[in-house]
Amino acid sequence: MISWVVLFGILYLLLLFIIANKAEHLNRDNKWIRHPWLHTFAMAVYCTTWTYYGGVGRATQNGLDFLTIYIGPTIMLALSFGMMQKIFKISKQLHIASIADFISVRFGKSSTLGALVTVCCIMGLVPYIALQLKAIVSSLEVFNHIDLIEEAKPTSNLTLIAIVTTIVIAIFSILYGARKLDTTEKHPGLMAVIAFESIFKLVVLLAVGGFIIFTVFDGPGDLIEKVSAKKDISHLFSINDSSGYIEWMTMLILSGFAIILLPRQFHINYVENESKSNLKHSVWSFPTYLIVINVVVFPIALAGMYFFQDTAILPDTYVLAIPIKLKAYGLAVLTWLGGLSAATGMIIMETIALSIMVSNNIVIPLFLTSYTVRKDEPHSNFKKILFIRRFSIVAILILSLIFYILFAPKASLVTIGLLSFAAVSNLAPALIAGLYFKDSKKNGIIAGLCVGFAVWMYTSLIPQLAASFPLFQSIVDNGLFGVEIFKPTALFGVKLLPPLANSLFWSLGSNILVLIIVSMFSQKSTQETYFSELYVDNEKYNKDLNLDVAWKGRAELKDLYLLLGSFIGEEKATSLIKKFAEKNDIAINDQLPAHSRLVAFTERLLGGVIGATAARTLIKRSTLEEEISFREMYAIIQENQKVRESNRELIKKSIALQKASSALKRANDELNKADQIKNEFLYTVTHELKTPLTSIIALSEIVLDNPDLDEHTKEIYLQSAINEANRLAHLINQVLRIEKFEAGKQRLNLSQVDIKALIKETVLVLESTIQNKSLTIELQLNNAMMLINCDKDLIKQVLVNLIGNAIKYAQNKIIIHSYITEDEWQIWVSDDGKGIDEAEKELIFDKFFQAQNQSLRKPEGSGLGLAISKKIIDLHNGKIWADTSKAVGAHIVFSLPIQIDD
Amino acid sequence: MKQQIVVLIGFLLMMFMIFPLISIFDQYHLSLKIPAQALYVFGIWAIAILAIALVIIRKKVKR
Repeated sequence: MISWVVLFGILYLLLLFIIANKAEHLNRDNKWIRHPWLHTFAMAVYCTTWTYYGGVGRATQNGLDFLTIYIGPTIMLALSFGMMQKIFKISKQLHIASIADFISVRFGKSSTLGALVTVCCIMGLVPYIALQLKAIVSSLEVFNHIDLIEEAKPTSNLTLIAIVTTIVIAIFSILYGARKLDTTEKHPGLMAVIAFESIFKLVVLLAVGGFIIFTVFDGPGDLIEKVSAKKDISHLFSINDSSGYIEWMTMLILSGFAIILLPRQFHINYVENESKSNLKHSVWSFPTYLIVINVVVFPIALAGMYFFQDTAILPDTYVLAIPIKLKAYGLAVLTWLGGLSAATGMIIMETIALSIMVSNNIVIPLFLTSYTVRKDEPHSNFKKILFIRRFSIVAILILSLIFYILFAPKASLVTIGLLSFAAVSNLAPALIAGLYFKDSKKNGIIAGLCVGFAVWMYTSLIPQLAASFPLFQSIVDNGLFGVEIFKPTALFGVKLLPPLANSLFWSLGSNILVLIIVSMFSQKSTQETYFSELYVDNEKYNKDLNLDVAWKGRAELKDLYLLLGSFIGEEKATSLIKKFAEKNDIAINDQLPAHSRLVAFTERLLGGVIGATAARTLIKRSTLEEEISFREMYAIIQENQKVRESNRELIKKSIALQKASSALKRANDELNKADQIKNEFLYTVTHELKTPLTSIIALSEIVLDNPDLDEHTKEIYLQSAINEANRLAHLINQVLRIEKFEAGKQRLNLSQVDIKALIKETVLVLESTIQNKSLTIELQLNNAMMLINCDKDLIKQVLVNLIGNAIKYAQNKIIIHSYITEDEWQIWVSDDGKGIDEAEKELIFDKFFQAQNQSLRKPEGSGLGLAISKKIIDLHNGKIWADTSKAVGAHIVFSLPIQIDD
Repeated sequence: MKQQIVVLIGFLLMMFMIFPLISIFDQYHLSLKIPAQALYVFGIWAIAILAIALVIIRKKVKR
C-alpha cells in the first residue's frame, strides 16, 4: 500500500515541476500571473500540515482554540492594513529581498542586525521545516498501521523517503527559486506551484470533510449527536474548560504576528508581489480561504473521536485514518497528497526565503570582499553568488533533515509550530519600532532581539527539548543553577501563565524593555537617521522618487563598472549606470570621479543582487568613502522633499495645461463649426436671392426686347416678375428677421393675448389660400379663453408659418387643437400629408432645410419659416417640436408657458 | 477612509474574539444542533470578512 502511495507522491511532485515550468514561460503581463487570487492562494502557504493534521489533533484536546491560528491573521491583516502598504512601498523603493533586509536597512544597513535576524529565523523555523518532513513520513505509516499505538522511531525506509523528498524539494527550490541573480526578481513558476498546492489541499480537505459529514453521517447535527452520545464533548466547546482564555488570546497574538513576520509570508507579500492592490484584495480573500478550509476540521476531529475512541490512533492522523477505516482508499491517497502539498509548499517557500537571508546577510558579507572581485573574470561573482544561494538552500534542508532524524520522534507538530510562531514574534518590536519610532536605535534593536530571543529559547525551546537532554530536564525541574525563580515555565515565580503565554510574555516583554532602554542611551549614525526618516515619514516620499542613499567620498567610474559588472556583466552594468545618469542629468566623465548619486545607484543595484548590507560593505571597501554629517544628510532629505513637491506642482500644472488645451481645442472646434454654418448660410442665402433675381431680369428683358408682345402675355410676364420680386422681398425680410434673432436684438412686446382668438384671426387671413386648395380646417380649441402673456405679432408669425406649411402639404384636412397642462399651453397644427421622417424631425428647424421627400419641382417657401418660428418660441421660453408618433400626416407642436418673464 | 474602516472592523473582530465577549456563549449549548460557541466564533468571523470585503470591493466599483 505504501508503495502505491509513494508512487502517487512522486507523480504529484512531477506535476509540480510541469506546472512550474509552464508558468515560468508565461509572459510577465499574463493575466493569470498577475491575478489577485494567485497572490491569495500563494499566501495560503501559511496553512501547513498544522492545518491538516495538527489542527485536527489539537481540536480533539483543546476544542476550538485551533481556530485562533487563523482568526489571528484575519485580525492582523485588517489592523495592519496601512502598515502592510507602507512596508510594500518601502520594499519596492529600496529593493528589499527579505525581512532581514527590511529590518537591517532601516537601522543603517547593519550587517550585524541582518545576521542576527537571520539566525533567529533559522533557529525558529528549521524545527518547523523538520516537522513538516515528519508529517509527510509519519502519515505514510497510517496506511500500514491503522492501529498505530505510538510514534515509532522512523524506520530506515521512511527515513529514506524523507531524504528523497528533501532532495526533490532542494532541486525544485534551486530550479525555480534560485536561478536568477537579483533576489527581487519574480518567480512565476514558484508562485504558480504554491498557489496550485493551496487550491489542491483546500479541495481535498473539503472533500474529506464533506464525505465524513454528509456521507458517513447525516450532517453536522447528526455527527455531534452521535459523538456526544458516545463521549462527553461539552468541554471542547467551551474555551474556559478546554485551553483557557489566556492560551486562546496568546495564540491569537502569535498567529497575528506570524502572518506579517514569517519569512515566507514576507517574501510572498513584498518580494514576489508586484501590486499593492493584491495586498488590499488579500485582506478579505485570504481570511475567506482560512475560514473555508477550517469549516471541516472540527467535524473531522469529532468523527475521529467517534471511530477511534479508546484506541491508540493518534488524533493528528484522524484525517487519514477515517477514510482508510471506511475503505475509501482513493480518498485516503488524495488526503495524503493534500498533506504532502501542505508540507512541500511550506518547505519550499520557507527554504527559499531563509536561503536569501542566509546568503545576503551571513555568507556574502563574510566572504565577499573587494579582493574577490576579479578584474579579468567578469562573471565569476555571478556564478559565486548563485552558488552561495543554492548552497544555502541545501544547507537549510540538510539542517532540517538532521533535526528531523535527531529530534522528530519526540517533537509534536502542534507544539513546534507554536514555538516557531513565538520565535518570529520577537521580530515584531524591531519591525514596528522601525516603521513608527524614529528614536529607536540599532543598538537597542540588537540588544532587544538578543535578550528576547534568549528568553524565548530558555522558556520555550529548552522545555521542548528537555525530553532529549537530561541537562535541559534538570533546568526545567529545578531552574537554572538550581535556582527555582529561574524555572523556564515559571520565571520569577510567576505560575499563572500557561507555558506558551509565559514564553511570549517574558520574551516580548524583555525584548521591548531592553530595546527602549538601550535606545535611550545610544546614538544614531547618519545612515540610520536617513533611513529612519524614509521609513517613518515614508508618505512624504513619492514611490518613484529617487531614494538613493546620500553618499560622500571619492570613487572612480571604472571601479563602479567593474564592481557591478562582476555580478551582472560589465556591458549591462555600464549601460544601467549611463542610463541612470542620462535620466537624472548627471554628466559622465571617465576622467573625473563618479558623481555621488551614481555610487548610491550602484549600491542599490548591488543590493538587489547580494543584499543591502553586503552591498554596503562592498561599496565601502571599493571606494574612498567619507563620513557624511547629519547636516549634509538632512540637506539631501530636504532636497528630495523639494524635488517631490516641485514634481507634484509640475504634474498639477501639466494637468491644468492639458485641461486648458482641451478647452481651447473644443472652443476652436466650435468656432470652426460656427464659421462653417455661417458660410453655408451665406451660400444658401445668395443662392436663394439669385434665383428670383434671375427670373426678374429674364422676364423684364423679354418684355423690353419684345415690344410686339401682346398685352396679355406682357401682363403675365410682368405679374411673374412682380411675384418674384415679392418673393425676393419676403426672403430678405425673413433673413433680416432671423439675423435679428441671432444677434439678440429681437425684443418681446408682451401683452395678454387670447390665443384662441389669434388662431381664428390667422385662419381668416389664410382662408382664401385654404379654399383655393379645397382643404378643410378644423379648430379643436377649448371653450374658455386661452390667455397667454406673449408677443402677439410674433406668435401670429409662428401660426402663419405653421398653418402655411400645413396648407402646403395637406391633402384634405388641417386640424388645429390645443391642450393645457399645469404650466403651459400646447398648440398642435396637424395635416394629413406625407408627414415628417423620424430622422428629420430635428433638422426641419434648421435654416433652409426642406424635407427630403419633396417633388423635383422647387419647393415653395423660403425654408426659413420653421427656423424663425423656433427662434420666436425659444424667446418665449417655450418649446417647438415635430411629433412623429402618429402614422398619418405632419404634427408640429409648440408650447408656451402660462407665465413668461420679461 | 477605507483604511480606517477596515482597521475598525479588525479591532471590532478582536474585541469579539477576546475575553470577556468571547465568554458570552462559552458553555455547551446547542443552537440549530450546532454548539453555540462554534456558531458564535464562525459567525462573527464570517461577518467580519464579509464586512471587510464589502468595504474594499465597493470602493473599487465606485471608482
